This record gives sequence, C-alpha cells and structure tokens, in this order.
Amino acid sequence: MNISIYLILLVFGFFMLMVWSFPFMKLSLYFVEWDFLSLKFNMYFNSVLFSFILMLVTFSVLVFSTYYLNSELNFNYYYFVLLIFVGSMFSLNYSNSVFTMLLSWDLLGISSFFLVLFYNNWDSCSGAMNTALTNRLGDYFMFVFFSGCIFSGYFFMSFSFFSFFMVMMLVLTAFTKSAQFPFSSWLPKAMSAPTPVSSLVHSSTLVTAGLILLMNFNYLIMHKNVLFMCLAIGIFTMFFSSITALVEEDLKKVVALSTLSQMGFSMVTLGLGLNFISFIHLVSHALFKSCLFMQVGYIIHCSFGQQDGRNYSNNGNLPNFIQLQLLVTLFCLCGLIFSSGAVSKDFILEMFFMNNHMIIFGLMFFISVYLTFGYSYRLWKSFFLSFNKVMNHFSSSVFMNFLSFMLVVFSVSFLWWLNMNMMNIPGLFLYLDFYVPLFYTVFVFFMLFMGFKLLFKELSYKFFGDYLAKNSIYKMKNIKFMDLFLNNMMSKGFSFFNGTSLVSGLYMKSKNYNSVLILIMFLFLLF
Amino acid sequence: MMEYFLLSLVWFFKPMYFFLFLLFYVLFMMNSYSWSGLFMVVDSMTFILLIMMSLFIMGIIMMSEKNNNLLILTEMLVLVCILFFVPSNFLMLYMFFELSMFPILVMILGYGSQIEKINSSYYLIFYAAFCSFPFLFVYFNTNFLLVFSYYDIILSWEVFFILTLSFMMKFPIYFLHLWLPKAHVEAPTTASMLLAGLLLKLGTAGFFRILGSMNFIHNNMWMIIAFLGMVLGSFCCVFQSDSKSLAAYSSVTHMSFLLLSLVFISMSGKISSLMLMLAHGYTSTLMFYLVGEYYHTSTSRMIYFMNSFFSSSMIMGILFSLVFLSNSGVPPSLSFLSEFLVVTNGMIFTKSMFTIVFIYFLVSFYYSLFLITNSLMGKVFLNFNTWNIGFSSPLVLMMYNVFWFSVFY
Repeated sequence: MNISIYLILLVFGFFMLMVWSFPFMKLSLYFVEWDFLSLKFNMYFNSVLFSFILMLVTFSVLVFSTYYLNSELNFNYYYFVLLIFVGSMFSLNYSNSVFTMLLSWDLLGISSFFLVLFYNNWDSCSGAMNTALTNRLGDYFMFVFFSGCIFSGYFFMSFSFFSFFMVMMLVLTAFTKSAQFPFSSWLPKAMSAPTPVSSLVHSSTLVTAGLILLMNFNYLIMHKNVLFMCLAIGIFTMFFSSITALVEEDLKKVVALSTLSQMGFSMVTLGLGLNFISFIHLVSHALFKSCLFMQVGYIIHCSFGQQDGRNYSNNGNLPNFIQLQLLVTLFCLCGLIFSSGAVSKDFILEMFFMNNHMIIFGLMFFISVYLTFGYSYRLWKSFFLSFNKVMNHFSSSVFMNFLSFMLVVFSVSFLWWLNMNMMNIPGLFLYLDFYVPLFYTVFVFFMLFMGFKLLFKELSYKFFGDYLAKNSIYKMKNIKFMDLFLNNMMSKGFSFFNGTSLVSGLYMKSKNYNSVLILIMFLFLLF
Repeated sequence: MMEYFLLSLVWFFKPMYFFLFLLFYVLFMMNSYSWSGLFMVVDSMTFILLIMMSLFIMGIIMMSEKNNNLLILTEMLVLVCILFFVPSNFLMLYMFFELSMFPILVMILGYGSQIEKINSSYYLIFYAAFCSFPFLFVYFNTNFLLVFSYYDIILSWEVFFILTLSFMMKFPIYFLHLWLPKAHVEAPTTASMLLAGLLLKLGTAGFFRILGSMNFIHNNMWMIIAFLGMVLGSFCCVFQSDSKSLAAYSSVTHMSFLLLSLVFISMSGKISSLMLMLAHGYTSTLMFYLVGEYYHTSTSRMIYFMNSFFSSSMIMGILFSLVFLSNSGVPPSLSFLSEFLVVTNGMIFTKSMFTIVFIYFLVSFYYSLFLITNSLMGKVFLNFNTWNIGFSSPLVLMMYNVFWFSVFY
C-alpha cells in the first residue's frame, strides 16, 4: 500500500506540471485505430485540471480509508476495486474514441456496484443493485448513441453526427449517471457504501462523469431544445433534492442530496450554455464535497458507524478541529465570499438572472439556492448543537485531524488562485461594497467563537492546567457564559415566534428552536 | 493438418494425447483456412474458431472430470462435432448432426442423478427426431446435393422453414426450447457444459450454411420469433429457482439474440453473431462449471442456498462475478463487443429495435446481477475445492478475449 501511494504522488506531481503548461494546447494520442477497437486519448486544459483534482482527492481518500477501514477483513478487495474505479475515471476523462468511452463508462458503473457491495447486509445489497441497474440504463442509451457512429466512421465531429436525434440519447445517458431527475434514486441508496467510497465516488467522480461527457461533446449539445431539456431537468433536480435534504434523517443521505443539488446546479449551467463555468463549478465542488464527506465520515466512525442523525449528541465537545474544518467546508458549499465556491456560483447566479425565464423557473432556482444554506445549516445543527449524552466516544487520530486540512485549504484558495493567475472569470460582485463589512464582522465573530472554543477546550488540560483556566475566568469572559447567553437568545427567539402565529409556530417548532439564525441567513441572502 | 487428426484417433483411449493432437490439428488448420479434401472442407475462419472453442471446452473437462467413462463420451462428442463443423456435403452434416445426440443421451441417462432424467431424455429424443426428419424430405427434393454444404438456391418459404426447423430446435428458439432446461437440470456437469457450449453451436453453424437461401422477404418471421425469445426468455430467467435452469434460460435468451443478429443477412450481422457464439460458448460453459462446483460442495442447486461465496472463497467470488458479468455484457468482454455490434446493426435496420433490445438488455442484466449479489453476500461458510475452481481460469481469459474480432478485418 505504501508503494502505491508513493507512485500516485509521483504521477500527481507530473500532472501538476502538466496543468501549468496546458492552457492553450490540446494533445491527442492515437494508439490504435482499427474501426471499433481504437484507443484515442485527448489531453487539454479541462481534462488535465480535472485529473489534477482527481489525484488530490484520490490521495486524500486513500489515506482516509486506511483510517476508516482499519482492520477490515476485506480491505484488499476494497482497495483493488477502488483502483479499478479510479483508473476508469481517468480513462473516461481523457478518452476520445468510442471504445474507450464505452469501456470506461461501463467499468465505472460496475466498479461502483462492487464498492457499494462492501458490507454484507441488506441495505448494501439493495443499494448496489439499484446503482448498477440505473447505470446500466445509461449504458444502453450510450450504446444506442454510439451505434449512430458507424456512418460517421467513428469520428466525433462529422456532420452526420450533428443531424441525428441521437443527441437526446447522449443527454439521457448523462442524466442517469449524474442522477438527474428521473434517475436520481440511486444516489441516496448508494450511501450504504463505506464513507471513503462515498467521498471519492459519489462526491466528485461518478456523478460528475455524466456532466463531463456532456462537456466533452459540447459542440453537439448547443441546440435550443437539448439545452432547454438540460436546464429544465437540472432546475427540477436542484429543487426537489434541496427540499428533501431538509427533512432527511440519515445525515449521509443529506450530504448525498446536497451533491445532487449541486449536480443539478451544474446541469443548469450547462443548460445556459456556459460549459466552462460548469466545469469549474464541478472542480471546486469536488474538492469541498469530498472534504465534507470525510469529516462526516469521521463523525460517523465516532458513532460506531451509525448514520442516522437522530441520536447524535455531544459531538460538539471533543473534535474541535474537525468542527472548524466542517464549518469552513460548509461555507464553501454555500458559496460564501472568500472561498472557491464563490468564484463559480456568483457568476452562474448573475448569468441566470440576466435572462428572461418563466417565473416558475426563476422561483425554483432561487428557492433551491436558498435551501443550500438551509441544509448546510441543518448539517451543522444536527452534528454539533445537541448535548444530550453525558458520555461520548471519539477516536482521535493525528492523521485525521490534519488530513482534511489540506483539502480545506485547497478548497478555499485553489480557485481564487487559479482565477487570478490562469483563467479570467469576470468577477461581477455587484452588491459587494455595501455588505462586505457587515458580513466580514459576522464571519470574524463566528470564527473567533470557534477559535476560542478550540483553544480552551483543546488546550485547557494540556498546558498550565488550572492556572490558565483561572486566569481566563478572572480576565476574560467565560465561555460558559457566552454559551448560556446564546442558548437564552435562541429560546427567546423561539418563544417570540411561538407567540406570533400558529403556522410559524409549527414551522419553527419543527426546526427545534434555532430559528433566529435562519432568519439572519435569509435576510443576508435576500439582499 | 489431417495427419494430426488421424493421430488423435489413435490415442482415443488416452484423453490427454487425444486433446493434444486435436489441438495441433486446429492450430494448423488456422493456417489453411481454405482447404478442401474429400470428406473435410475448411472454407471459413468461422468454423475454425468454433472448433477452437470446442477444444477449449474439452480441455477444461479433461482437467476437471474424474470419471473416465464421461471423458471417453466427451471425446466422442467433440469428434462428432468437429466433423460436423467442416463437412464436405450435406449428408455428412446431417449424419453428424444426428450422431451428436447419442453421447449426450448416454451421459444424461447414465450419469444423471435424479429420476427425471428419463423424462428429459424423452423430450430430447423426440424434439430432435421430429424436427430433423423433415430435413431429409427437403434433401430428397433437391436431388441429394452431395457436392457442397451450403444452400443458396431459391426455395419457397415452407420448404425453407422445414430446412431451418432442425437447426432451430438445436438453437434453441423459444417455442422449441422446452428440452433445454430439462436436459440441463438432469445432466451431470460435464454434459451440461458440452450441451451449452458445443451443441447449441451446432444449430447456429448449420444456420450459417443455409443462410444463402433466406431471402429478405422471409426473414421478418425469424425476427419476430427472436424478439419473443429474447423478451420471454429473459423474463423466464428472473423467476427461476434452480440455478442450472436459470443458466439454461439465459442460454435461450442469448441464442434468440443471436438469431436476431443472423437474420440481418449482412456481413457484419454474421460476424457479430459469430462473436456472440464464441462469447456464449465460453461464458455458459463456465456458468455451468461454476454452478456444478457449487453443487459438488453443497449438494443443492437452489438459488436460495447459493450465497456467501465472498466469505468462503474469494477466488470463487471473483471468478463467479467475472463470468456472470461477461454474461450480462460488460466491457471488455467479447459478449459486450458482440452486443454492441448487434445493436448497431439493429438500429441501422429499423429504429424500433430500440424498444425490444431495451427490454432484453435490462432484464438480462437484472438476473445476472441478482445472481452475483445473491451468491456473493451471506454469512455461512462453504468448503469449496479451490483447485477445481482455478481450472476455469483459461476459459475466463478467453471470455475477455476481444481479439477474435480482428481475424475478420
């Protein structure tokens, strides 16, 4: 296992070099070109950038899986199938011929089937069957699409290719793999896989495969009706998955539904015609979603593998560094400023609202983007804001504390760096100058709160023991008082809403008293 | 080349040497694929590849079968089939076609384990007899063609139907398929392997020879029969409880798909059906072999008890998954390549092929995948004989060998 991580790092370094030299050229390698059995590979900026991110995420996931799946009997099986999966994802990324595309597409489906099948229980088996059957549906559509190739001599950009109605088949294939509206049942069910699998497969690679396919064929898709279908299905996917994520109890499924919503978002972007921005959104999403899965996996591992969030409690006490990273990841997910999500998300929002859509589309899109904040907050609340249990188990590992740190740093800063230095996505921050100070203040306040909690809880019995505690009690405000203050504010907020009207009372009661923060976020988003 | 064939006959009672000399025969035959003798005419790579496949099947049987009588019967069957694939006239073809029934019958009646073997051999004999005797009538009316073994004269549709009837029974086409599940369930593992891998190809190879007489106004009927076979056969598979019967119905489904590909009567249709023949030969032989291994371990063929291969023996789990994945058409297997070619040919022919092949695709994937999931997961322990399971690895390699396709280009 060690030698393979070394080799992966080596290839990773090589790819990093390639990324910085490739923005304007495209390298094609044609190995054999017998009619059907042709191996052709295509390297240009999009695919090299994506493979760089893929390397990063794979490396983190491999190290994470040595923590999560420690002393599992079937670890070698998992590792082997994961490597098959990563290999097929790479070859899908670079492939430019019918045979390699079909081969890697099918292998993605089959290896994700075997990965979900890891645990030996009913949930895994049914989820795996669901995954494999839906993927097979997409494979069939891809078969039919490529069967139209035979008159074009298996060349992708010829005229007869444009005239076929087969483009609809291609779009349907992308819909099944990226779990868009009619075919989205497999993604929550695939959460019966171990968390390292989810963090690689269901966050950044398998579900993006469909979108990458559409992006590779982007000249074929620039037709009014095809783009309309992408747009409509994408908006609907975003809408219903965001709403479902508000009431789902299994927290890993909430993260899966948030992935689904972001994939719908990318599909909407494709439907607007902005395929490069959609790709950039996929890249940044890959980083922070896999990071989010890893942190959620840590918490799940601390609860002995229980994914259902109804009895999670007292999680906020011990893994403080994880809390901080989770918070920053959630900020990236929401697309708040100063993180990578903002680069692509802001641009997409601007471009969407510059058009004239039907009011239904606009409303659904707006509500879905708002609900991104909704479920991010729900994740945060379910993990860290309940203190019922007295005793908690946590498995601390030095690895785990700092492993996702690298990904968090990347997810915050990578796209900004890339934007400043290589690409040129225009920053259309129109309302920024008015609200930035306010936002900055709240942000800093919250980070200071977390920082205090981290410092005092982590270090309180490590250096100076009681002396530091006594010092801080006499000199600064005690954290306990700040905590009690916040709880008091929350309950006062609840009773305010409870006394107002029956509807809001029911709504707020179901949200378990934390309504003030919802209101603040809503006000933020509205302006 | 012929000298090796005759030398193999010398070693009839030492199976290993028999196999060795037949292997040399096939390998030399690959060089001389346009060779004409008095009783043997080799005129196409298709039949050479089919003989190669039959030798692979005989190889695995040689390695794994411990009963010498069954080995001798296998040798007899393979000899008859090789002579069937390269005949010089139609009488010889018919003679060896009927003669292949004899070793299978002896294997089923002599070495089957249940009492229903008598019933199943009745089914086998009577289906074969009733469907093949009318062939002699056609042969008589075409004045005993003794020179070549291809039919490309103009025939009316009734006569042509009678001509195909005998081969269709061996195919097996859906309405004449009842003998196959019965025969498979009652037969010993070796007989099942030979039946699935080899005898079903007799029907298709015979179909190759009469395809010249089929005009384009006749082939719609065979397409409809093939559709029915595909859809109904795959639905039959979903509800089976005996794993050998499931593999038999899977053979019926694949063979109907093959018929669909053959009746396009185009060059690519014939080549893709040959690829499908090869893929099916290797895959279903292995399916029956692995199910037979499970049967030898646990004395039951029920799917309900076929579980926990993963916990028992990882190699069995891996090989089982590989075989059934190839059965369902997953790249880079040969069956994937052939299914892609057939779908392409079909879509060129008519766009409504989409719906029919859609149903076949999904349902056949479903039962293969269900069997994989069912057999891998579970918490009991079965004591597999891993040495026997490892014997199947050459055939597994062959299943994924897409390079047979390059022989024709």
